[in-house]
Amino acid sequence: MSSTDPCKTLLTARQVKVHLKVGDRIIRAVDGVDLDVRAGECVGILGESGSGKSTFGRAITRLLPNVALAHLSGEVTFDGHDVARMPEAALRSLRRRGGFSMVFQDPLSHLNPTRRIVAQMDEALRSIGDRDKLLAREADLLAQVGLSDIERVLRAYPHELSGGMRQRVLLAMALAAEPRLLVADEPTTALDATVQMQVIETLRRLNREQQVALLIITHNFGLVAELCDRVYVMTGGKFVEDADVFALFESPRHPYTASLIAAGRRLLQPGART
Amino acid sequence: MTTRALPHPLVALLSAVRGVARTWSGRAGLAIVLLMVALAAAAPWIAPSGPLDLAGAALQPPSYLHPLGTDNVGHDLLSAVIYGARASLAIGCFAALIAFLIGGTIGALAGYLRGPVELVLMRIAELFQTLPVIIVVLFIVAVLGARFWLLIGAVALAIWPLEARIVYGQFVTLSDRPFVTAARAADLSTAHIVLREILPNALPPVIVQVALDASLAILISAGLGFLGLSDPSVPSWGELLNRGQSYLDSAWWMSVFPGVVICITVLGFNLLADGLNEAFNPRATATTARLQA
Repeated sequence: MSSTDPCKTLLTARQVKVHLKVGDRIIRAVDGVDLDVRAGECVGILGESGSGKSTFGRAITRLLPNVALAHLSGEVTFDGHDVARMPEAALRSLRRRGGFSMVFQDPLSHLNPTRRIVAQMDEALRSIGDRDKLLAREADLLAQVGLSDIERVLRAYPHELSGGMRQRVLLAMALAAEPRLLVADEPTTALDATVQMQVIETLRRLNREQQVALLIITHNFGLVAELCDRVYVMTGGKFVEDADVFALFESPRHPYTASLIAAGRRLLQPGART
Repeated sequence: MTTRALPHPLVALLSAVRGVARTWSGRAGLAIVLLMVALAAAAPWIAPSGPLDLAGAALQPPSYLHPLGTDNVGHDLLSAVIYGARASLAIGCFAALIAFLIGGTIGALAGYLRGPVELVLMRIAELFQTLPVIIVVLFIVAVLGARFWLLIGAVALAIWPLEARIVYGQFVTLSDRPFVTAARAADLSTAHIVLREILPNALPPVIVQVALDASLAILISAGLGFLGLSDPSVPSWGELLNRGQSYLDSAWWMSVFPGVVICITVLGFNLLADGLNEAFNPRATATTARLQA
């Protein structure tokens, strides 16, 4: 299968531009970005708030709300399919099976507060008709993301779970479609440090054991350093640097990257208070 | 980033009943409404005489035998008021329910589908709101006659826009929530999204509005009765007011007692709505708790 071939490029983005209309000004949120993700690879997009990284992530997965869009252009191909110009139905089948899934920062607002987890997972697995098979698959998915006490999780309402558990439930739902690429937009930002490590561990296992390619969008250096093979640094809607993760931390070429790293280091040193 | 966890609405509903009992307005409202329902339900057992029995001489002032006096024919007023609770509460509850069904459907369609559907449906709702309620109902009753079910329908027709606006507002906000977007992206049916994803989340303020609608319906039906537009075969508070009109200077009790009962009932439903609102709205509850502490 193509997903096990490590050299094959899974996702390519060329000259992606997203301009947003804010009042009567036009904001160039994403301004000509190129990106490649190979099968089974883990790629990070690192940038500060407002650098356009989330908008870019939504643009390549075609999840942009088209309300304030002033301009959208560029080429996006996923496994040979032209994602940018694909009809909605084909896009849905790609999301439903073997394509790409997305996980967001705030897991709570993506779960319906009035329905049990099991009912919401059923929706992601509608193709399985048999009730027993369905439950077995749900339990299997929850186990894959490292949740124990699966019976309780399935019967719970979202507010009865902790933030980390909710994020992993969403991960499990994203995995229901057996994606080859998982786009994770700030997957750990809303979580506390110990739970962050659990989610990072889960993502790493998915990447290693099931060869799911990861595209991690974050402002968190630790997350990138823990997980990613390659990093793109984004600021002002453009990629300013693209490097191997070790090379980036050792010797950043772009001054913006250097200042980002320096700022991160200062935050870590307790003596650096002024 | 911290997000407040929303409880499941059914859980919220149960805790709301407890929450209603926590505020003094909720307690008072609940007590009044339950008392009125009990009076209506137990009318044949607790009323001193039947609704159409001649219990004594006409136009007797309040006495030990007739605590609220008798009317111009000789009916016992206490019995008439107790039996009248049946019709008045029925009009209030059924009209509120029908208004909820009509207004809820229209508000939900407008709020979920948006675009031209929203434009047309909400303009229709606004049109109904700009027409004076009493005139609309007067017209319907005058043309079609004063039958009990027709009155309920007419009152519901007058108050459904209130319900439509609340449901519409809820649907507009909730349609943009990420879990609804996710359900749309997953290609779930519109019926599923509206009934299972959005509606349960929209209910709390809608339930408050239903309680307010009930009080409004009782008030409107009493007003119609006063004007002579009530089903003469069903005893109701409005009808008692109508009969008392001609005896205002000689038999004040014929107007005052039914009027007081209407006031108390309407107040009860309003207090209940207040209590529900505070129970559903955590910020309001917090303020009350601080004030009481």
